[in-house]
Amino acid sequence: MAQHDSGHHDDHGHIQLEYQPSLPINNGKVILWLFLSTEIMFFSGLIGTYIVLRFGAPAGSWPGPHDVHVVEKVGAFNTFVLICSSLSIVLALEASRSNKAALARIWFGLTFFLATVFLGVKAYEYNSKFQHGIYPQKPRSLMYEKADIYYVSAVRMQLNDMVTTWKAEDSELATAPNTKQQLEDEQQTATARRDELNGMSNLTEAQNAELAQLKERLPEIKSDLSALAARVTVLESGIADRQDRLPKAESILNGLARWTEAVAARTDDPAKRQAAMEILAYQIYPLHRDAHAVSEYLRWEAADRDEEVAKLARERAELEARATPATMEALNTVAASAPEPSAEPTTSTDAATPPPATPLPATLTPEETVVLNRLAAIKARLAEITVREMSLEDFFAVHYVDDKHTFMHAGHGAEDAEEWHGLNEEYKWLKLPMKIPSGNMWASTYFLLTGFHALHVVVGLIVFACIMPLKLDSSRANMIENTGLYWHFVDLVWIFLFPLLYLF
Amino acid sequence: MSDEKVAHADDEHDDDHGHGGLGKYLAVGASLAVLTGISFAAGSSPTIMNTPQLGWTIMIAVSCAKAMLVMLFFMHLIWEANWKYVLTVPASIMSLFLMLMLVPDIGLRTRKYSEERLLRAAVPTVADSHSPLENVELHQDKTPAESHEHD
Repeated sequence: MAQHDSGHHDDHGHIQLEYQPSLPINNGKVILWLFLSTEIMFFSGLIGTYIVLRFGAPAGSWPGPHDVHVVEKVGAFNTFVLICSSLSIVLALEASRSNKAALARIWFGLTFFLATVFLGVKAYEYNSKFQHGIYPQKPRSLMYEKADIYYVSAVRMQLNDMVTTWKAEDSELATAPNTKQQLEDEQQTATARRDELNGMSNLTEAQNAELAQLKERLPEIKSDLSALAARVTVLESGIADRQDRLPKAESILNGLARWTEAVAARTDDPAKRQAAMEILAYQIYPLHRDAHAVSEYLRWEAADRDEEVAKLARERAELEARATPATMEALNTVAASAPEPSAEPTTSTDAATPPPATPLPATLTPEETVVLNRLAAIKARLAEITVREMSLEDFFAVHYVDDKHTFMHAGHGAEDAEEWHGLNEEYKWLKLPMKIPSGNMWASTYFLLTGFHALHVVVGLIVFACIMPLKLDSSRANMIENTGLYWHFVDLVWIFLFPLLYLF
Repeated sequence: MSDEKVAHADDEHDDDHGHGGLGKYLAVGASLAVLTGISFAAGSSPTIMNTPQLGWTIMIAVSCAKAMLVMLFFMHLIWEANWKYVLTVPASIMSLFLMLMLVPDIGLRTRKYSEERLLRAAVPTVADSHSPLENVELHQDKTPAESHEHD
């Protein structure tokens, strides 16, 4: 009755089932390939996200490789290292299949070594990013999306903190000898009193209490003194740094940061406000595509200046047309006797507000005085506006007064303009917030992608370490093949990561 | 009789002697290195990256070629049976599909801004852009683009 089915039959007519594998490969390989297809989905989720984020960012709002210290050559070297390790592991498999266990181990060792090299290079890359304040997350990350008022205040706060801390340290160091002297004096009197009390017999209760208090206090003084000594050592070791850095930080704070805040707070024109903040960001960490912001600002400054000059000239012409000869004569006398230039032209239509320090010839009427003062002010103001077209150098020199070269191009001339890498580069200890649009998004995806990949490399290393001590002959060929499959997948992921992260 | 049809699950030892081989692997390794060089050269060359889309196409194509080489030869798939399609094809479809599904929400995130998100958004600074917020529709009457106008 069961003769025409495919199974075998033993003598009793029972069906003997036989094992037909669905796949002509060993179980380990099946499972590993299943695992790899999940890994494909895992990494394609991450890589796909990066692709969508990056290409969804409008042109100019995603950091280029140079903006975030990604060096293409290093990435290319790492790619080459991984390719070689892929090759060496497949050669290990070949050797194992041909029963050459020793050779297989050598190839395995090479793979292990190359994987370590990869991780070492990755550590170097990560370190260079951390050094520049590029972290996956705030608060360590120094990146800001745009140069707005929050950015400016963050810069100002950090500079302020630096300056106040260092000044406090300097003054602490200066007063340390006094504190020490005080403590030592106290120690002396307390010790003397304690010895005196100890020498006496039949102490009263009050004296006993005093003795107990002294006994408590003396060790405290001792530990205070040693803490003070330790603190002084620490402060003294920082003297050289503070001497070098404090003046620089102060001049950046009082020059650049204050100027930016002044413009940002007082100018009516919002575009000009924005440009001033962009200039601050540019000075700290230039994105070379932003260089135009600086020259635009200069153009506006020049245009505004011209406008003001024209306005003042008109007003002066008007006033001079109306002025009496007495006024003009007084003006010349006033001009001859060193007039005080006012910072801003005073609104002088109000006779009730006399301008300061102008000698008042008794012969003039109040209206004439008003006109006189106004003309003097205009003259002073025009004298101030001497520069028609400021060059970049002069602009910075005027606004960031203390050290032109410090803020300009590190001592080079204007022809080395491309060499300017920003204040953060110039003074590595500054670590001011930088403007890198979409920088934080970039950093978190970059570190996530490369971090997960590096974790997979570490897992591979662990597997290699477990396998290498074994005898890698043909009986172990399957294990080596499966390990190889995993390792090739790690290489595959890097093949896609490299152009995406480094070259796009 | 029951011995004959015992599964030869572990018998690829016979199959693989004809596959692989040092020469093939070295050739693939060399091609991978060359392709990496091409990709690097394309990405670093200013002429090609002047049209970024051209550069990106070259680099993606090179990456796919390298991936195929690794998968076919190093991972031995070229000599495997049809099960390789069962594993790789759905995974590849999934990966493309997952990426496409992110485009409407994340890829097009700069098309529409809420006021709060716009406050924090990175403003692209491109030398010749008139207004970086041109494409932006806000849920309010006045766009900041107007206030950035300056002549």
